[in-house]
Amino acid sequence: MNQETRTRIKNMIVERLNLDMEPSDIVDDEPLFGEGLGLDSVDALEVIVGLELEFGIKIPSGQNKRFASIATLDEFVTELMETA
Amino acid sequence: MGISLKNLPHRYPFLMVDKIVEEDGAMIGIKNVTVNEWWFASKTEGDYAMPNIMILETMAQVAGLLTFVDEAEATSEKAVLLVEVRKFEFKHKVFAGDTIKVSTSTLWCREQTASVHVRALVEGNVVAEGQLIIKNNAGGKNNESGN
Repeated sequence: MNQETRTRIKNMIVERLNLDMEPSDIVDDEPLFGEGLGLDSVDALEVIVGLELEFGIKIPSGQNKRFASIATLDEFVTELMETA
Repeated sequence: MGISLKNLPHRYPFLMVDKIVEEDGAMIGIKNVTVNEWWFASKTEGDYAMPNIMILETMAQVAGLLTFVDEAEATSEKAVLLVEVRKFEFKHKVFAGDTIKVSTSTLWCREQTASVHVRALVEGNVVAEGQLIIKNNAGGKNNESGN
């Protein structure tokens, strides 16, 4: 678990999606899509682009399960940064 | 590289772009608003303010024409869908006699979906501005990313 990475992801999501909430209000294990934060497929693309810009990584397609929550995204981003 | 209005599936009376021209090195869309527009027919005489939704439609059509453009697609018909409108603001009314100039800037493009910043100006003043999410559905293929 990397708290700094999680904070950066939350800040990016709130800023890029213009969410009316504080980044710290997002629960690490809360689902991002559907019930939970309520993001949709367009939001997913915005998040992908935001992650690539924020962390300088390239996210491959077909990684839906890695976008389940902040916690899974943190793990995914950390992996990609280590293999970059 | 020319961009033809025929690249859009829209036709009269719902084709909301008159032409695409180059201005200051960038391609922009032009819409001349006349008193003969069909949406003015139901309005009170003398009230010739263009409905905001038609300004938005104009901007979306220009975004559709100027996005997903490459050499191969420049002459082929596209089926660009407006998916979402974000952070959008109408700043001033547009009246019959005005010429709207629409410029676009692609923020990102992925999985045949693009986020485009659009700006509409009349005589140098911004009348509407915001972010559109559009999707290239050429050929009717389902390009859903699934993420």
